[in-house]
Amino acid sequence: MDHTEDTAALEPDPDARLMLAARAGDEEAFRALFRKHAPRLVGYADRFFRNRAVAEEVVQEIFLRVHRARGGYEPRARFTTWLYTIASRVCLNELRRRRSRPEDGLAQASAEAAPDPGTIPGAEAALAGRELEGVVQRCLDRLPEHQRLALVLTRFGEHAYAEAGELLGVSEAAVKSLVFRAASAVQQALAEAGADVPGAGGPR
Amino acid sequence: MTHAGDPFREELVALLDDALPAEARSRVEAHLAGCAACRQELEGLRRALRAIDGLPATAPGPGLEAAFEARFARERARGLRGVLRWLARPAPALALGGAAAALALVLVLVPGRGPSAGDELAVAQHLELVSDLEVLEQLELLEDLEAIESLGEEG
Ligand SMILES: [Zn+2]
Repeated sequence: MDHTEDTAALEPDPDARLMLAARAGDEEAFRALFRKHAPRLVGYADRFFRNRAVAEEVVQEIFLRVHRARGGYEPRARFTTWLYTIASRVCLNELRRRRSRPEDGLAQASAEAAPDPGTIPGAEAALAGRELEGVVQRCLDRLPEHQRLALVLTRFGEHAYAEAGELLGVSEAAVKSLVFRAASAVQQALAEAGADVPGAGGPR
Repeated sequence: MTHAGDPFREELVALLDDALPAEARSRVEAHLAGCAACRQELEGLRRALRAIDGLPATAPGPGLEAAFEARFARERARGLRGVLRWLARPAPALALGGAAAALALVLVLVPGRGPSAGDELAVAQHLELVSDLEVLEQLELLEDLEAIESLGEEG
C-alpha cells in the first residue's frame, strides 16, 4: 500500500462518485462504500485496539461519522484520504477514551493476553513466516504508545508524517523520530530472533 | 556529516518513507553512495519496515454489515428525535456561533433516551471530540437545520 502521491488523482475516483451520490442522499451508494471499505478499516482499527470486536464497533462509528459529514464532502483528494482522516481521528479518540476509563481498557490487556503466534506448532515452511510475524507483532505490541501510533498512522493509515503529527498533536520532526525508533526496535527484534525477511533480497 | 548516530538513522527511515524534502534527500543519498555501513543500515531498516507492512490484517466477522445496518437505522431515528426536541426548545441555540452551537446541538441530542446508557456515555464523549471534530459537528448542525426545513414540507 502506498500513500499520498500517485496518479489516481488524475483518474476518476469511483469512490468519490459514490460519496457524491451519498451526499445527495443515495443511501445505497453509502452502503456500497461501507461494503467496500469496512473490511479493510477493521484491519486498520485493529492495529490500534488489538481486539476485533472493538475494531468492528469503531468501524461502525467511523461510518456513522462519514454519514454525518457527508454534506461537507468535496472530492478534492482521493476518497480514501478523506475516509482515513476521519477513521484515524475516531480511532485515536476512542483509544484515549478507553485509556481514561480503565474498565474499558481492552487494548492493553488484550495485547498482553493475545495468543503467541510464534508458539503455535505447524508445518515448517509456514511456521517460518508465522514466527516472523509473531516476532514483529509482539515487538509492536510492546512499543511505547506514541511510537506504535506513529507507526500505525504512517504505515497503515496512509498518513504523511505531517498529517500523523497533526493527529497526534506533535511535530513532523517528532513523528520522524517516533517512526524511526519503532522501526529500529523491530529491526533489533528481527536481528535478535535471527530472522530474515523472505524476499528482502539482501546478500546472505 | 555524522552517520553512526540516531539522527542520521532517522533520516534513513524518512528516506525509505519518502518523507524527506529534496535537499535532505540528496544529502542522504550522497552520503549513502560513499558509506557501506550506512547502506547496510538502510537495508536493515528496509527489512524491518517490510516486515511491518507484511503483517496480516484482521478481517471482520460475518455479522458486521448487519450490525451496521441496525446501528445506521437507529442513528437516523435518533437524529429525527433530536430535531424534534430541538424545535421544541426556546431559541438561544441559534444565537450561539460555530462550535458552541454544535456543542449545544449535541447536548440536545443527549437526552433523546437512546437505547442504552452506553449511548449516553458515548455522546458525553462526543463533547470531548468537539474540538477535534469541530468541522464535522458543525456540518452535522447544518444538516439538521436542513432537516428542519424539510420537516415543514412533510407536514
Ligand atoms: Zn555512513
